[in-house]
Amino acid sequence: MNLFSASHTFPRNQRLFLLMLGLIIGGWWLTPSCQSSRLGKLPAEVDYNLHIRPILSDNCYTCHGPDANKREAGLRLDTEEGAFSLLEDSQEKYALVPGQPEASILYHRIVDTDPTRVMPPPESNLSLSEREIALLEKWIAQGAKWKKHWSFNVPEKPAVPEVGEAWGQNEIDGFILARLQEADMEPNPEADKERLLKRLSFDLTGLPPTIELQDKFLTDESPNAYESMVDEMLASPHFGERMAIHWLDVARYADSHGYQDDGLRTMWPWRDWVIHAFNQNYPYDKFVRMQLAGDLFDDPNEEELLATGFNRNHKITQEGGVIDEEYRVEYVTDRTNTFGKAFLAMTLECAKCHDHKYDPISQKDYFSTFAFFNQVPEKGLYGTIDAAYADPPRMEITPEMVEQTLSFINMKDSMPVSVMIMADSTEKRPNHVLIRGNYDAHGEEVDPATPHAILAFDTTRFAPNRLGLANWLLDKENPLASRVFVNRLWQEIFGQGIVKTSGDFGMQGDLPTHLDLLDWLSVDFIENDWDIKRLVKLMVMSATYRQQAHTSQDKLSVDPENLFFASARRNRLGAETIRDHVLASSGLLNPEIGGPSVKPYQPEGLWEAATSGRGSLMNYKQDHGDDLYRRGMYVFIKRTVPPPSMLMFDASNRDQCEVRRLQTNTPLQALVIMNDPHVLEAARVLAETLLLDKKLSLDEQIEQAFRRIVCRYPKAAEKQILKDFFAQELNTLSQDEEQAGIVLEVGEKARNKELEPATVAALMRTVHMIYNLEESITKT
Amino acid sequence: MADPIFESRMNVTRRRFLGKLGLGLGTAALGSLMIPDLFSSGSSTTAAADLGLTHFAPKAKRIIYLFQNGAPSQLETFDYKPKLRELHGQDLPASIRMGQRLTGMTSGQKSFPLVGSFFDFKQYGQAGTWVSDLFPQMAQLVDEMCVIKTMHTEAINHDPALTFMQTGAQVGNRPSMGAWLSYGLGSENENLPAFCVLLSRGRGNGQGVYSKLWTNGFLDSVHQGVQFSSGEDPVLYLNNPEGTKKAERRNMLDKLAKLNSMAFDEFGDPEIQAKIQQYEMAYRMQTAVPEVTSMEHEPEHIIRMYGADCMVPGTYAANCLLARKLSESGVRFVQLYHQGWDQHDNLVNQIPLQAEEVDRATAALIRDLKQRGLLDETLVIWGGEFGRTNYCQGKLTKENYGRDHHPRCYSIWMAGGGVKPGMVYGETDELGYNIVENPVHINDFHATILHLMGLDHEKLIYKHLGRRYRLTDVAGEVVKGILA
Amino acid sequence: MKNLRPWLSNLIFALQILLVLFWAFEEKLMVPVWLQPVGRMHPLVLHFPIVLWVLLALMPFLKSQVEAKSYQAGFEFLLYGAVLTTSFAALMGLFLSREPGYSAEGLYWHKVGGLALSFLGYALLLGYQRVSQKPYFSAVLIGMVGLLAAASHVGAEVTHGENFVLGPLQQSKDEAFDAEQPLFASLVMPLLEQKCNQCHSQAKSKGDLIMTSFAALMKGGEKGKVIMTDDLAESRLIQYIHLPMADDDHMPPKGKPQLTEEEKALLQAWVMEGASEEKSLTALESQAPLYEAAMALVEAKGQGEEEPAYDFSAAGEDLIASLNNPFRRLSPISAHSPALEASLFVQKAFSPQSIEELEPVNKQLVSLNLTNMPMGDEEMALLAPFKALESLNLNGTQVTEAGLRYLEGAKELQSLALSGTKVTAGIGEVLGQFPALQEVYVWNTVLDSTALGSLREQFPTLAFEQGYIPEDSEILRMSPPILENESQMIAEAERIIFKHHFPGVQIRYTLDGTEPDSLTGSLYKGPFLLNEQAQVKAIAAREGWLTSSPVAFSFFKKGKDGLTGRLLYQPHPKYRGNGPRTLFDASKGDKDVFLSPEWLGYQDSPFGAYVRIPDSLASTEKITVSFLQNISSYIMPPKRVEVWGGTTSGNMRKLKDVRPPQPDNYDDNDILAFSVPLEGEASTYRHFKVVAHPVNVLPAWHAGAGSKGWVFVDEIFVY
Repeated sequence: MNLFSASHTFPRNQRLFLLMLGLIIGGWWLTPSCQSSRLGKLPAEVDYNLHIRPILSDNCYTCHGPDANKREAGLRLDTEEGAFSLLEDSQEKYALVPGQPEASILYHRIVDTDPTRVMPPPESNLSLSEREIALLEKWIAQGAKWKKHWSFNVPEKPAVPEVGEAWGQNEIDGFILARLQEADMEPNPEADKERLLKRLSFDLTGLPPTIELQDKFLTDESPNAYESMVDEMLASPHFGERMAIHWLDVARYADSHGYQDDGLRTMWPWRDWVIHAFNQNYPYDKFVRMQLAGDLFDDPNEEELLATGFNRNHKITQEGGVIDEEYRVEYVTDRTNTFGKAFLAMTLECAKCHDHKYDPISQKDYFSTFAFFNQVPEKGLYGTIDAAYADPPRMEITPEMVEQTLSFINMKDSMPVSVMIMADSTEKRPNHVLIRGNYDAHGEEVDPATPHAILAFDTTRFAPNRLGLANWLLDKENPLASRVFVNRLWQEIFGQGIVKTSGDFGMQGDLPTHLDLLDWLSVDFIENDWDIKRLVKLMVMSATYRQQAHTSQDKLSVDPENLFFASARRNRLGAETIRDHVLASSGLLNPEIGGPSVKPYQPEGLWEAATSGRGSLMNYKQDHGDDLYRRGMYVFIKRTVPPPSMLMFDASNRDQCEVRRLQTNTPLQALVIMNDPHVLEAARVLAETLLLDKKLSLDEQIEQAFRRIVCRYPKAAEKQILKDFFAQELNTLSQDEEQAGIVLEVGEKARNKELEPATVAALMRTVHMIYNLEESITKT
Repeated sequence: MADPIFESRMNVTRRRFLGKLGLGLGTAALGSLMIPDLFSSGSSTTAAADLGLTHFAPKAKRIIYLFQNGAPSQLETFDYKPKLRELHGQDLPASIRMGQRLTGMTSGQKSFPLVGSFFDFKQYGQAGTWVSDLFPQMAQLVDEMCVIKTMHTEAINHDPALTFMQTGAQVGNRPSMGAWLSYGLGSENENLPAFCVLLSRGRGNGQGVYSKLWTNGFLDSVHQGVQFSSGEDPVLYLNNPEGTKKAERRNMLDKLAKLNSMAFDEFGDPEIQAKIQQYEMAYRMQTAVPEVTSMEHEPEHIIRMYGADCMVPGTYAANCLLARKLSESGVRFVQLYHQGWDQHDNLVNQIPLQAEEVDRATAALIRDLKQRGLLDETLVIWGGEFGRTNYCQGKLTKENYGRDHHPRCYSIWMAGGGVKPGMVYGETDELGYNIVENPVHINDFHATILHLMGLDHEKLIYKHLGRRYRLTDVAGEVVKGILA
Repeated sequence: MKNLRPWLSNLIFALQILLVLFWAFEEKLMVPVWLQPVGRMHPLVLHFPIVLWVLLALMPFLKSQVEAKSYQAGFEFLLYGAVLTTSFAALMGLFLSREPGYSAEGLYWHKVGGLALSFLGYALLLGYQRVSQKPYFSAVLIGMVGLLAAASHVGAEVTHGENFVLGPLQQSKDEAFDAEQPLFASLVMPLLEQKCNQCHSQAKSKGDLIMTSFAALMKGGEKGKVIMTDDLAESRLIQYIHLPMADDDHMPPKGKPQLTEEEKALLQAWVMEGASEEKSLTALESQAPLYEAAMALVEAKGQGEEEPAYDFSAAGEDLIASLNNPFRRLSPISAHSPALEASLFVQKAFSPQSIEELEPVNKQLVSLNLTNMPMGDEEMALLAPFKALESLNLNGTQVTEAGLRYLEGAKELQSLALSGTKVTAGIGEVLGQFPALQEVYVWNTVLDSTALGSLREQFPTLAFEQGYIPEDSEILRMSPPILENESQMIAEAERIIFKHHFPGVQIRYTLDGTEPDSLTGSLYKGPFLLNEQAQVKAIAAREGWLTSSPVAFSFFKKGKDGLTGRLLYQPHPKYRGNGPRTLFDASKGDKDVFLSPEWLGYQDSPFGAYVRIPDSLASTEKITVSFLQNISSYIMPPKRVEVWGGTTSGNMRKLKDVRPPQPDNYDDNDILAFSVPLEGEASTYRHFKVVAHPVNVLPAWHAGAGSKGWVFVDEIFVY
């Protein structure tokens, strides 16, 4: 038998084999488990702050960090001396030997394959990627240069980069463009006027530009057309409201006490003050000093007292039978954490139960800061439900005061209203470290002080009270105060902070994408007496801000998160602003400023289902008339059941200080805009208004609606779709007059009976569709 | 890498690459047999977090958590303490109390007279589990249940205790259990939320619930608990406005999609496409939800089983029935809250009313899951936020008494998906004050639940503001003793 | 005889692909237990290639002696053999290498060598014709042998002991861990067998240490005892397993399967606990180290075995992804399983395609959930191809036993859920076709206890779940009627609407405050009008149920518009409602929420209001004031009510002055209406004054006996 005849050819598929093999191996090289791409391109110069500290902090500090109690083998890698000193139980051995990875134990331990020795240990569920290891190796090889954490350096004003280009309006653009050129990317050209105006209007007033304003801007050919718009809006009383929305998140403002029974509280006069302060353009330092320590000024006036309400916005329990001290401590804790997050962008709270795991904040530091807020003559439980709308210390605001000094308060009632404020009791409460953060576990006694890693609390310069604290915060030497605020303002206007984690400037926070720019702005801000409006103007005047929002595949591939600002961000409007937009564009908005919060339409039974059955807020009593059409920031916030549509659009639940909202996109959001009576009513009213204007043709009516809502002229194609839609709807609805009638039965705003129902309903639906456009509720 | 979701995405590209080639060559398929995640677990179209993230084979696919808000007394329900009757009226020995802190309500009290339950206990089932006469129906099902008598917590007040049970921390704005599961496992039925919340109030003393209990915390808000009502509008804003027909809505959405895609062509912003998708899902919810909530497939004897209240929207019974329907339709986590268990005084008159409302419907839910073959894959949990004192709060009279909050031990039970049926876990001392054997801390409780769902509580992590967060924070041990 | 060559070369080709694949994804490669023996045969198989390659290398020397054609054939024969066996050996090697305990470095090079050999061999297979005549050809062959030698040298250290090949199979037969069993038997011994007995057994008792029995173990070896229950540090067993790999004394030796962390922990804990032969888990505190160690080990073992092993291959992830859509969820039963489960959702979205499209994965689909899908028997035909099904949920479908016949092929079917389907007793003829069937859910079908009885006889091994059947003896209370009206303030011509979700329920109601029952009271036939303020009490009744508890609602007819007025006395600051507006805002307070903008509360001063009726009103019939009664909160009916009226605010005469009846116990919260008819001249009055005095001393039976009562008012109507 002969298996193998002499002449033969191999099946052709095997000709391809070597090719295939190549392919497979190629594919295999491409996978993360392979050298080249796993490492990516290592930076020529490995920078400690940029590349190394994040790795150490994230993977090592838990056991080799600031927390003395958890520190292993006496090794600490968060300080220079710690990292370079002789290792405890091994003579002649160092964790880091500059220039010599092979001599550095740290390197040995991270590449060790023995599970019992490798670092980080497997049970920590942490592990270093090949790239991280390579970075560490290269860093050591390059001499392991140490640097202080960026946010703890006092910012110095860097020179504005020389970018030999026409592009750019002010200093900001210099920094931005320089960074773009490094990544060899191009900035976008300036956005078209309509979109620019929409963006500006929402950013500065939280309201859409009226058609009049749009026309004015479109027709104004003068070179400073844009600037005059900016100035006009900065001057608008709605500027204060717009700024306040963010500040209310920071201050965890709400209209109820929180916790289970969740009774009514009347802090709204404080809210009115915030709006006032922004409109008056109080310098940031004054703004902060008043809120932190207004009561400690020498003979403080009523306004200064009111401002201190900031520190009383925290939740207060009304649950019978709680332990007084436990909750009093809880309130002081909230103030301390808020101080850390709002003004220092430090996660102080992590140091309450133990030394901070990542940042140089000891538990003692925490309770030293805690001490500043620990002197308030308050009780954990002042009284159960409805015992008071404002627990002491508090101030009564009378109509007289409003007439004289507090004119900015929108008082609706002749009855005085009481507001919680701050005070320090005369007999000093001793301050202790609370062991493991337990309210009743008193440890060593401490004096008021601050984390010295940020800036030592020099008692010769700062009084040991909240006023001293405020001065320490706003001191020229304090590296954080200005940076933190500037960054948040940037976040509010550009849609993302220069430091993305605007609440954490610590080791674990994101690094600034443009540190030089941040520093320049911060110093400049201080040099110009903390002038907020000026800073805002600087930002919105920049070419960076004015860019188009269009993005391209190339840009997305290089910089998917748009960290370099190669285009404007297309951010969705905030929860309150969406409401404002709907009301304003339909003409329903009641522009009244301040006053007690209002209760507009809300799905039935929400408060009733969640209530404990006690208190004046156990059921939702909806308001009527003009109160239905107030701006979103005035919608009553009951902490345990916040307005649902607001939550769905990522509003804060005001449980604690929040400096940055999520930006999510869910089906429930779609349902709100499709079915919320607010939107439907707005659509109806706008439709009626347009139809009543006899001068307008159908084309113009649709065009107007579009311009009011999307804030630009519709393109021909868009208009065609809308017109077809209108025609279809009109056709169906005119066949069923009754249905048309039902469609129009929405909202309490009286219907206009003269108009022909089918037409109104059809136009209403067309307008409603425009409200549902993605672009309508997006800054473009 | 901190975020497991992200990792799983990383793998997809590589899998695709080899997947195609492998199939092309035919042989790779065989290879996949031994390279499990080479082809397995295709991530589905929209869900953010998804399959392939279970760290090991899950025992339960879904959870129904019947939260008894206000803290039912373990001493009147599942923790039988005849000794208390003997010592009725005598003072609680300080040796037992061991410095346990008291709530403001009893801290003033001079004496702490022990109270034996006025309600009798009997043994039921092969397990011989003790159950009080308050729960005649549940008692019939003890052989399906695993009663844990040794839950304990640190909190002594409702708000922190409740927050602890639901989010793993007494204070702060952490994601709740359901949100974590939605994040870890994604939704099974994309037309419904993965995490649904149902509220009801009993006749007893209420303590209130708050949306923080079903918050997504720092997770994406798709993981937020969606409040369902058994009423006309089961999900907020779900129903089309009066006079709008489904077809008309459809037409509007089509036009809308057209316009939105024009915007996408101009800006190239992926968010726009996401928005189009979200509108589609909203539309699907409008179809799916009414199908689930309709009573169409429910015969009359179902109503007899749950009790007539299940026809009254917003009652516990109605919510139990709805819970089964949602769970049956693939909702991962259905969270009920039932208020009214806070019997500080007048316990003798209040607790029977409260128990009556709960007993039948709860039993019905278990039976209903069982007869549909769903109990094995559904974990049912019943219990409150802490226990109640073995001594009387206020004046102990012949005919009445009350009990204060007690954190050191309380009873809950689980049934179905992966727990040992017909067992009692842990033991308390004969006065029902301290735990003597097998304590289960809330962190352990959470660890165990995640384990049953196929997740390792130490690996389900989310990094927020520089810190890695877990439902079990830094503690938690899986309670192996109760695993089937 | 057919020419085998293409077939062979294809096989070899495939082997190369597999090699590359497994190599690329080594760290992911998980060799199922049943394949481990194959892997472990590597040491045997590898001898074939060695021999064959050596022969090949020698071939050239034979060339001159042999006639060309057969030389050619023979050479090819050897070459194919060599390459084939090489590939196989390499593949097995890869499998084997996945088992724990082999030192990384040595193994790595061994692997590289083996793979290189296999690839080069294949390359040679493709190209040898072109090069076979070249002078350096024999050098190439010798090179191969060299490489072979090198590779196998590195591999040489991997040796094998007793019962090596079949080990894993027995291991996998491990029965489930049993807490009652002594730990030594259930955990310690098995791991000794696995990791130690290869050397420490009767056959090869290294160091005179035998570890195959408790006695022998305790006896120790040449250096004496290895276990000192009193002194852990002295127990050599524990010492050695903890020594670093590098150390020569480290056990098990380098290159042998190593102990896992859990196993080390267990041995140590076991010795600490006194190295008992009897002690079982149940005898231990749950905090005991041994308890925890044991649990940890059991779980560690468990991980792999938790999942059923399937012998079919997984479907492609793209395929799975493509079959997922919002209405159809298809996913692996767990991350590491090739088996799939599918669920369909949303009846309206169902179509035959929903199932047909799943056919590409019918080999993998073990679980299918079709709950409530609109399926009848003909749709069942769609399920015929799914022969791998283990569990099928048809609850709530229209399926009958006829439809089940289509499932004939589903020999694996274990669980079948038919609750709420149309199956009848005839199902007995179909169930026989499912050999693996264990449970059937037939609740809410026509199958009654008798029918099931016979079925149970017919299929004694099957578990039939009949579900809960309520006893007819037990009679439950019906739920009360539900009121549709949103407000208790009813406008002109507004009707009272009751509803009840339960079909066939009768609603009865009264308007005179008396309690209706299943016979008395008027039968609700539909929305009805109230001609004036009234309290409606209603019940729901139904055959076979207890009549519901009554529900009561106080209704107020909306009065005339345009009333104005002012308060004569300031309300208590805490209960000041919306001031005078409260009285005329046509919005009722809640009887349970007295602290609300709807209520004005008075304790120290009487309630008093001046009321102005617009002149536009021709005439009026009645003035009504509504009070709150919330006795437990000290809110009583007023002690005394005066109503004044007149043509001007200046002169008003008293129209009425009465003392409403006071309760004598804790009645329910309620809203009371107090009316004064306006006849004759009074009907033209435009100015009124209402004064209501709170009870100044609460009655003796009241908890607050002696203290002041309250008066709460929310609305004044004029009709």
